[in-house]
Amino acid sequence: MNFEVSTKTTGFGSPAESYVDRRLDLNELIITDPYATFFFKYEGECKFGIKTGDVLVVDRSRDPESGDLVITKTDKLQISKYSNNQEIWGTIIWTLSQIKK
Amino acid sequence: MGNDYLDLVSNKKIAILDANNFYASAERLFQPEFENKPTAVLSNNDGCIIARSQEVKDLGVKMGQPLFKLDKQIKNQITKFSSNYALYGDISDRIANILKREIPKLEIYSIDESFLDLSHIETDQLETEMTRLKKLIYKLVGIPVSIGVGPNKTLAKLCNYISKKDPSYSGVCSYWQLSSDVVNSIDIGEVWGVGRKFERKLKSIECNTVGDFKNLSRITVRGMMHTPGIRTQLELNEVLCYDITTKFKKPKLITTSRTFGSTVWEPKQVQNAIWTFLNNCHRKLKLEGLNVSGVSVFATTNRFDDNYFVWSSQFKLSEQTSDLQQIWNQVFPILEEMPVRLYYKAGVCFWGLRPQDRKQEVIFKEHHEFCEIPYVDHVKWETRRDFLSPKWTTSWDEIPKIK
Repeated sequence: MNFEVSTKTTGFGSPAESYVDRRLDLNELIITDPYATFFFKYEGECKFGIKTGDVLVVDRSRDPESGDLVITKTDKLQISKYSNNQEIWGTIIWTLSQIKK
Repeated sequence: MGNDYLDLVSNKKIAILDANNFYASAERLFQPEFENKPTAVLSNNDGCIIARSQEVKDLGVKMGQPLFKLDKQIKNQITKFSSNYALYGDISDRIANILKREIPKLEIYSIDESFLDLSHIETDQLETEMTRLKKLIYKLVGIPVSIGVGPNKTLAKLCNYISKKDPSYSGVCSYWQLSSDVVNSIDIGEVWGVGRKFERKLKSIECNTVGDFKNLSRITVRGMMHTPGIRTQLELNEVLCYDITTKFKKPKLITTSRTFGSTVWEPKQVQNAIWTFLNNCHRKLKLEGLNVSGVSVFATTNRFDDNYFVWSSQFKLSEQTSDLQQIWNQVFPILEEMPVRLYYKAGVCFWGLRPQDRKQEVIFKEHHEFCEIPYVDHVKWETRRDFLSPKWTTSWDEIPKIK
């Protein structure tokens, strides 16, 4: 068995010392497959609750279901609601809005 | 050839996966308007074409073609991009990491090629597995790839070539699905390791195809191409000469070189540039945990100029080191000897790299006078990149905008 020995010489060790967890990492919440995740910036009129300047998190590993927001590919990339007859670039899984600059 | 090495025949299944027209495909990832249109990527100073989409190849444009020598009419049809290594590097890294998740043993061979050990897959399942990988890479990263598999790297490369050449293979080709006639009739110039020079030599003795080459006597091959030629011949006969190396390779050289945006002649400016290159090499040196024991420095004028001039100097350092000041102290006096010319390109190369822990201490250190480190202002040695696309995936300020 390993014992962690505190090297502090004064007082008692911090009572929190044996509860050292890793601090929350936003990447873990938002990204499931880092190698298939891409970011876009929305610039346009507010639609689907997305405002100009919002960052879109796009995961290409996720297959869209009806009603999902996706990036479609024609001769350019665009946001749309998923329907069957489109070529899909990727599925939008998060939008990030900054509310105070 | 006889079958005197039958017991050496490979029992492995080695695949090579490479991205189709990688740089051009990467440029199209966020710009689908360039799909099916001639798209080319230019070298560091926008000088030459270093990557071509299929449409550019179809226009008859050669690899490495200097842009200014290109027919104007053809040039106008092509969409040009400066090389965007931030983008290519990131996409390459994504593909490599996905492959690592899928395949237990692989060798990252270059920015757009990896060797995969598929020995664990049944022979009749190889195409299914390769198709799965091809589709997966396209789905996750959006880059089309081709895969060839064979008993060794040379035959894998040959199958990869077939998979691209003949659309009926849909980008995957297994050696075990091919008849020997198909393999033997391939042009010898397409074989991995047979460069232009050897292709010419071989064809001059009527050795035009893979089949012809396999039938050459070993003495003939050795006389012409030495040991590497023998290995190529053995591999074409299904022997394994180059296995997959998964070991991380430490670099043998660290190099930084740049083309100046315009010609540079002031000694101070050249020194500034060399100092910056030295810094760059030094950063890589530290990253790898290495010491350097020798340095080369060079500067050249424009190679299209009439009086093309190359200045260079190589020397061993007084001891191996990773100390920047110590390196600079020995480089600086040499720069003073550099003649004044209109320099166009310069570079620094570190050689004799050793792991830091094997350093042999020099007991009596010479006392060094410190050479002054130059003040680096923004001299014009930035490379010209007139057609650079954004760092789509590596800079928050440059992520693609969408409506």
